[in-house]
Amino acid sequence: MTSTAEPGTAIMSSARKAAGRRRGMGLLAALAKQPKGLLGLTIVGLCTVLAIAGPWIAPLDPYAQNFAQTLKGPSAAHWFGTDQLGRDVFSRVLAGARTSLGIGIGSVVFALLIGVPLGMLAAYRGGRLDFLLMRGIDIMLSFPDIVFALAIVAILGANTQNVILAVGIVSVPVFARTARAVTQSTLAEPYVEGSVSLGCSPLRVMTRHVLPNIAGILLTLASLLFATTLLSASGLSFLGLGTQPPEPEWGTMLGESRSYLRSHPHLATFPGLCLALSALGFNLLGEALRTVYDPAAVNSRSKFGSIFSDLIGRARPTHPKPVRDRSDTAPALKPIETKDLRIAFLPSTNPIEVVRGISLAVEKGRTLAIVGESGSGKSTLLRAVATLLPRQAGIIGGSASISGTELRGLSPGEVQELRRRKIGVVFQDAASALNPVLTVGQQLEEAIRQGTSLSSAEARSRAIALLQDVKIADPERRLDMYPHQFSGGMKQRIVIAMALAQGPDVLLADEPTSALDVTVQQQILVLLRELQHSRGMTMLLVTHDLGLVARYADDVGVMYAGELVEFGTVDEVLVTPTHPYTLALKQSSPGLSEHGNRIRLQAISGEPPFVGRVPEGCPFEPRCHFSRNRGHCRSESPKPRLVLGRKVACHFAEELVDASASR
Amino acid sequence: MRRSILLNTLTASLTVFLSTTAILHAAPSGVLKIAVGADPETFDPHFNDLPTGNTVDLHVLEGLFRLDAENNVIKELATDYSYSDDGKVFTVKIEKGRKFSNGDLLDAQAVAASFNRLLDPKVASIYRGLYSSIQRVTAPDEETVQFHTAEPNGHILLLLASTTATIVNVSAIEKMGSEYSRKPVGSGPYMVESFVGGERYRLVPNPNYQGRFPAKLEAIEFVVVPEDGSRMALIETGEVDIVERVPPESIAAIDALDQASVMKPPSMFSINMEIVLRGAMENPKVREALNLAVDRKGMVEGILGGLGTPSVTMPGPGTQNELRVTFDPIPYDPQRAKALLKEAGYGPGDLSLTMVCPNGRYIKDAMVCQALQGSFQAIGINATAKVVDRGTWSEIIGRKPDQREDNMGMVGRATAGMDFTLYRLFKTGVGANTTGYSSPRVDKLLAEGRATTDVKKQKEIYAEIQKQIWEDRPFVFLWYQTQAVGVSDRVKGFQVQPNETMQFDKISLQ
Amino acid sequence: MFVFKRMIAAIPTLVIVSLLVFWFVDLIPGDPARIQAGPMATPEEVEVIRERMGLNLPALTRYAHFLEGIVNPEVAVSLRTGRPISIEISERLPNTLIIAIGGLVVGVLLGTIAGLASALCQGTWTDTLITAITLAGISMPIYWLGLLCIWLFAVHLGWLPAAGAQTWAHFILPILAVATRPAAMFSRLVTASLLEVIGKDYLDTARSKGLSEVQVLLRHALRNSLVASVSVAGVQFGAMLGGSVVTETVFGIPGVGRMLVDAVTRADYPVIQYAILMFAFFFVMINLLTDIATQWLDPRTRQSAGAA
Repeated sequence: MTSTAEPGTAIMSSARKAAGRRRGMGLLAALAKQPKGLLGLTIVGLCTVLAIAGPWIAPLDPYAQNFAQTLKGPSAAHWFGTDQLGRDVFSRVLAGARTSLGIGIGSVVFALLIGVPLGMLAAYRGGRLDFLLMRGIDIMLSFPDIVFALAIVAILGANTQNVILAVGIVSVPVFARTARAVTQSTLAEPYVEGSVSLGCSPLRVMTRHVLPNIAGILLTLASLLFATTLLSASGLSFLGLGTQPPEPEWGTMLGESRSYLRSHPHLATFPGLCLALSALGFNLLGEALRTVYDPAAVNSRSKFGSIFSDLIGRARPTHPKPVRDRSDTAPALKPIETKDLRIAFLPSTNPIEVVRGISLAVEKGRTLAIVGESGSGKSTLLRAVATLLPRQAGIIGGSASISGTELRGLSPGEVQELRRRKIGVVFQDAASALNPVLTVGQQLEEAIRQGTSLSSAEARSRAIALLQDVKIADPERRLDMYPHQFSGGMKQRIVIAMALAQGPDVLLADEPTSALDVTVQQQILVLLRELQHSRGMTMLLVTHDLGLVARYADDVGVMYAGELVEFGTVDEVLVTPTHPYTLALKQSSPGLSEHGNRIRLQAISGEPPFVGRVPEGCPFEPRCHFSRNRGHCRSESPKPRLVLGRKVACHFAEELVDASASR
Repeated sequence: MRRSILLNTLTASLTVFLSTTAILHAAPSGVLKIAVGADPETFDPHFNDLPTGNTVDLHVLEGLFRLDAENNVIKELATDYSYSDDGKVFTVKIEKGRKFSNGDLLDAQAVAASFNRLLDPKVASIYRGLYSSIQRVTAPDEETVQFHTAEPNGHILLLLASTTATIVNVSAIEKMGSEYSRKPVGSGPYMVESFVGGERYRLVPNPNYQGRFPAKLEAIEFVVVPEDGSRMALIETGEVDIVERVPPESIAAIDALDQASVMKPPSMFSINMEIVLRGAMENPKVREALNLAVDRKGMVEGILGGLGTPSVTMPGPGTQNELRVTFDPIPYDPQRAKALLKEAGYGPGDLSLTMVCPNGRYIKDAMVCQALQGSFQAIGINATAKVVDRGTWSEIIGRKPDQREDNMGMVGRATAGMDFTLYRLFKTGVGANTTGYSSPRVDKLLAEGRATTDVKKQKEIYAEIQKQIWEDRPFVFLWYQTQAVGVSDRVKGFQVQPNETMQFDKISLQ
Repeated sequence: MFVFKRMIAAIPTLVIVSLLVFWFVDLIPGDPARIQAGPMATPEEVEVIRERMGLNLPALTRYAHFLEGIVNPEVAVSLRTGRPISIEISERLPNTLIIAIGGLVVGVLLGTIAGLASALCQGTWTDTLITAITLAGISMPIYWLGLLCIWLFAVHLGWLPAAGAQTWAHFILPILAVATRPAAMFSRLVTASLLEVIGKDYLDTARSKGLSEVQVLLRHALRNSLVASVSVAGVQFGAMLGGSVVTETVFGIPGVGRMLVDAVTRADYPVIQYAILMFAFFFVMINLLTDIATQWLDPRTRQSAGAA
């Protein structure tokens, strides 16, 4: 009951969706794919075999005594040695598997059969019955489990059945609570509500809709509970209140042999190991099941190696500082500048280059928009500039600098200083960019006070001012609210306020409005532009929306497969694209080609190349309408060159100029 | 008035001073540490039923008589004793001027009050039944105590030598209430300095002690550690000097230590399977067969690790040695057992029996039970061993014979006094006779034995009774337990009575 | 408001719990007086004990007595010692609490460190090792572990005393032994919640504010596991109180757990009743505090609770 109370609630919500899909062999396969699951399955399988066949395959009679052979260590005749009565420990362990595991299975099944219908009933009927049942469960939970079991055994007497009963009763609340919670949420699903209102019988609703959803969680819980049950029962045995001898049972055998722990360690070791191993097996299986039924867990686990990369990764300057060219840095300190910047994932083991040599510079006070499809590397570029590359990504070549400060090779302290004062970042999803458990004020003040000696009162007044700046009314009250109390647009304003906290030179915005609806998008972008102007910030805006670019950016860089294929002012690039990809983007972008007509015009045919598998030659060639199988494109990657005042990387840029001119 | 109190205190402290100087030549020294397996819970002799409590009562309280290490009765407070002519009044003279540790006077009045508390139904002592042959106790003068019995009782001396009959300070009990059970006020050589429930208690010398067994130690510290393995670890690490109840499997480990070894004093505990005399069990041949089926020696060696001696009569050694007789050990003869069963009309598998054993009450009880099951199965009986927790065991064993569903139960008996032990178990229809044993001859002999005060006649009578019981075999006689106590080499003169009470009269530490 | 409501709701629970505990003696098959009297007792002795136990009184009167015993120590006395049970419990409770609280603190500390290490070193042998140890920790019977600990640290190495409760050193082994389970639970909890927040933008937000990685870790990443931690801590604390019946037996600690086990084997019913009642009371209180704390710590539920 103790260890397994949490998983139930934790995995409930997400498990429902996955539950239906994974059945039978699919489930086995899913389990076997995980090392934990495979090990767990193996052990549980072995346990099952032992429980079924154990008593039959026992080589000797587990009850046969032999006083001439007491307390002998392991030998060829007695693999696990003999016990105090000269009985064969190996045979007793085998024979005891059925009772030991039977106790676990018996109590879990008992708890399941009582608890699940109770929980489902409570959820289905609701009202008073629900209240009473849950009260009852509360009361059962008012006793520590082993104490409760102890009391039951004290009343009923100590034997195997009563132990099953005692430990089973103790586990009922866990199942009941879980079943109730899952049933409740399943019943709230529209399709189930529908069938209920259509007059489906409760039994049908339960078997058709609720049980399939609940099965996975129950299986997980049962597996985890099984382990706890085994241990609780063995605790009772230890106190002399479990299965009574001569019946072989692991817990009792362990309890009986505890005073021989030193003189004859083999006695306690084997039953103890069996007990611990089977508990381990069921724990592992339970964990694996949880992973299967809780997709959230899968994602987070298989995702990145670690968040706290700087603690071990970023803090170390893993890459040598590039040799700085004095003449480069001297003349104009560009707020944002990259030179032949190359970024790869897994740089040390299996490098996958996602940013392949990008050189760009943004003048002070201007807005550069980076556009491109998903996977073009534009977000990675922004993160590199923001010093927020994920741990497994690294800069493998070139340089990037903010106001003349080279980002590579900075110490953690320098990075923090840079982030505080120079860089402001606005993330795509404001909802996840704010910590849900801290108030807006706490988060904002944290940003304001970092690296300063401001008092909290000063920080607060500055936070109020910042909220006013981002046009949030009634800032004093709002500071004490939590993110979930704000609308999406408001949250994004707060994120912007945080980015502005220490007056950064550079504002980096990663698709800042794509999670918002259209009207709010406008407001946020207008706000951003106003702030940028009033504070003289330089902005790097990553987006896939050319409409935005046209309205809010000064310069635009078009990225494709990790390269900057076209770079120039918005007026030039968007009006007369010189790269086939830019043109395709433009044509596929709603609202840009024709005013007010926001229908999708023309999708770009084909797929962008896989990251890390960029073909030789021009990466856009397979999708390019202009290439027309001209060998040049396939063999030679086009270098960026100046065409009509902007940089473009296409062998036939001029053709496009002509084409658009003729149009 | 005030002045006289002051004067009294002065004289009292002077007496204390004098008495301490008097025993200065053997000033108590050294602190003895003992790990015990059972939490005594109470030191009130009228309620204590554990050897660990007896140990404290023996040293903190004084009786009129007491037992020595061999269970012989010796005088403690008593100076002389005599029976009246009709045998119904037993008169004891006690030492004059003795005091309790709190300074209260211990005169004949106090002794009578202590016994009358024991006999008071309202107090509900667990030993009231045992002493019920005494009707009342009077104190005609300050050094004379008289015990009035309804019938002549030749066994009163032994009753009075038990720690149950030690003298409690009744006026202190009234003042202290239940706290008295933890810090009893007595007149013994030690007194309880501190008691932490379930954990430890500490005895220190009683400065007011005037008797013949003065304290030898500065302090005796007891720690309560029920778990065998943990308790044994304490002597191995040298944290304590003495551990009681060494389990057989730990004997070798402790003997192997440089600084300690295991002492094996005999125990009164007579362990038997007490048969419910019903159905097939009424057949003497069946009972003989059961007795022959058991390899006592093998079990004592194999399971008890030598901590036992096969039974040679029902009462254990030390029960009352002058009245105890012994017989030939019961042979292990499964062939003869099978033949007897056949004679009785039971072929292999015809007879089924269930036996009930406690778990953790006696040395290796659960193991022995399983071994017995095997032994009985070997002679063709479908035996079932039912090992139960102690609560259930207590409940089953305590039932009247006609309410028992099992056929035999493992019980250890360790009561001092031949009369008490045998009368209680074998007299027809008495409360603790849970086997349903009934023999007119034994009934008659028991009555005669109780009435006679002549030791020679007692010897004859009790020999007869023991012989009859040995031949009737209402029990599957097993063995007498042997105690195993781990004792550090620095402890000298440590003794243990057969009832497992520790004795510190002659102890010294090096 | 929520706190108040929750506390009111605990009252009927406690009443029903007390009824159940009281009813317990009547559920015992056979005659409690007979069992208490022991195998040696004569029927007359059993009668005396029955009277002392008050078993011949009507049920309601007995319940009233039972409740009175909670406030009036003189009413509820142990059948074995005749001492007030409340005093016996209050003497032993500190030992039980020291081990439970100590175990919780040590467990939380060790668990958090292990969990951090495991999360930071995902996929490395450190992670595998920690996972293996924690899994072993929750799969091992605690008494086996305890006995092994005694053998290793007390007997073999001689670093610590083996059993008893005389000095603070006596508490180290039991605390370590009981801490394994909460440590394992916390390690898994911390790992899981860290991995859960791994991809969360607000960590990058925090970084972009210029927080050091340690600050990010403590203020933002771990902070989110706080709610879950509190409820796990509550459950674990309760489990350790309950587990005291085993640990105190192993380590010879005179606490309420061992008192209960002794009372069960000796059929001292009033002690069983009041000890269980005390455990239940603690459990209800822990549940209450945990609920209140989680509500309070989680702004989302706090708000809705305030509104409700």
